[in-house]
Amino acid sequence: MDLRQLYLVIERDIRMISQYKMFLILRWLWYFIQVAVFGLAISLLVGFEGYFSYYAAGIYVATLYSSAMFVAYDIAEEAEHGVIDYLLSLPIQRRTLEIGRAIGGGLRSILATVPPLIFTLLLIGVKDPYVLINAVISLFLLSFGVAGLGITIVSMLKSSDKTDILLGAIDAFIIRLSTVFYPKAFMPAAYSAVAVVNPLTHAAELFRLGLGIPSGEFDPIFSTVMLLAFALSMTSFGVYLYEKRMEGGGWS
Amino acid sequence: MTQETMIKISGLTKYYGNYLAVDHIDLDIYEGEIFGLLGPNGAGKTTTLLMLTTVIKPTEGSAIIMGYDIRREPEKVREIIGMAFQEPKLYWVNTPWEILVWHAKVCGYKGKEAKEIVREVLDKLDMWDARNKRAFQLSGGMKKRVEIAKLFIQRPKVAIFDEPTSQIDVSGKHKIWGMIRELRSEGSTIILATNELYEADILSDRVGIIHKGKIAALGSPSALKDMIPGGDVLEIKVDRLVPEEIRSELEAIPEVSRVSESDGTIRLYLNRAEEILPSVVQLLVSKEIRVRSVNMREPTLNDVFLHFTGMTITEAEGRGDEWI
Repeated sequence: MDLRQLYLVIERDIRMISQYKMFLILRWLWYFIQVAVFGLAISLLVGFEGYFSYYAAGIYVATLYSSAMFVAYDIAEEAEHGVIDYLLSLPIQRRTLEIGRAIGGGLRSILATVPPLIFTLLLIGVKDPYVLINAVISLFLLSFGVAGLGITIVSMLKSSDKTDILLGAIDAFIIRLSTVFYPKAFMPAAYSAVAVVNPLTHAAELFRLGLGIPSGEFDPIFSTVMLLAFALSMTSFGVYLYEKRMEGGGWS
Repeated sequence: MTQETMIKISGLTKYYGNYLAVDHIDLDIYEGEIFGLLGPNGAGKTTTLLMLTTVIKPTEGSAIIMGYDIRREPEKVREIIGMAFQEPKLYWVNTPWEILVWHAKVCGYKGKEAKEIVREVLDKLDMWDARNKRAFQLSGGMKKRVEIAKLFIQRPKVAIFDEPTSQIDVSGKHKIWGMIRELRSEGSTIILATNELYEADILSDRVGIIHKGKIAALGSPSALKDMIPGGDVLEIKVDRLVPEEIRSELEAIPEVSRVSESDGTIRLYLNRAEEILPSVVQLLVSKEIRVRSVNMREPTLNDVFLHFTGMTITEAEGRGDEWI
């Protein structure tokens, strides 16, 4: 694989976030209001000690998820503008293009959520920097996996409208059926069964562990393995489908 | 002069579902030539080009470009080929500068070098002042210039221009034609897909007329025009449709090889047009068909298209099925 070409594909995706300044600012604003208003109110309502921190960490993971999924919308829009054909005509190996897009999509989602991340760290505090580094690595894994999932979906559907609808539906389920907002212990059995295999659960668990507020509901090694499996499988599947489905037009 | 084959296309075919877009094309394109692919929208030009650039896979057949098979060695093919698309492929939030500097880097230019070549090409295409506008703020002609700038930056061994001057003003067209010739003189082989007859005529060394996914005729523009029986074209504007029996009478004139009629104009392909003209006009007038104007000219590529396909390129445009 040509590493220079890989770097250029990643760079292109990362540069793209600078085009969405207003969108990012509104997204950060939404995050701050969500934590400062809703998070505070709901933690008083719940009366559960430490829930505010639990919520603040969880909503960051949800924000990261949405941000990583944005690559799917970008690819769908690029297809509408015919940019996919242009990318496929370039002297870049298909594999390099596909892997670059998955990595670029994941990295830029982390970069796009740096202010909320810093805000969360300041709000909750960091007990052990080494554990935090592990937690941030797991956030990277989540964002790569979600970017891979986004590429998988958009490659399968080849339609902006269908992608919009399906991502909306997935968003509704994947966030709510996880421990992003509430611990597994408070979920009905059917919901908690889904939460156990939900990558957002494990990213949230490892992030909380890094912030020194572990829920203790999952073994960190199990969570790490689950996230790693998610990232590898989704990235591989996304790369495979991108290669198989992107050629030949057929977008609606 | 011996001509090296740069591109050898064999049985190249593409189906979209049941629709046959490209129908077993066989074609050789020679090194250093400007090859015009002339046809109406929907004729199969763009599909053929997308297969050559490995953007889409052929259903049957293949092509060898500089020794590399588009099916088996697509990565190698993309290293030597480049394409400026018919519809500019620009993401709406990006600026020409961002798009082209990235493109230059992908094509192998390093940082400063990439910026220099982009500046030079944008300058030549009168796009320097618009370099920082976003794609959605550009006019159709400006977008087209950015699209073709990609090829003048890349300078590939095989450069494909798909309708390069559509939406471009007349002076811009001449500038771009000059740049295409310059690219050829530097060693590139050019494929020029167009539905503009004049463009194909003045730029191409050879022209392939594509119709309904097939190559209907192939040769240099002058050779193709010479293929039309009857060296002259007589165009007579009339006030009403010419009845079949009068057309038959016209066709019966020994010097007339073909008669066609469209848009209120009757066209005769014939020899010794100056001598035959009076009798033709007299015949029409005697049948109470009013002659509005008469034009005598050399055949054009449109006549060639008509000769080989039975319709003018404009008529064919109306019947074409746009696929890609």
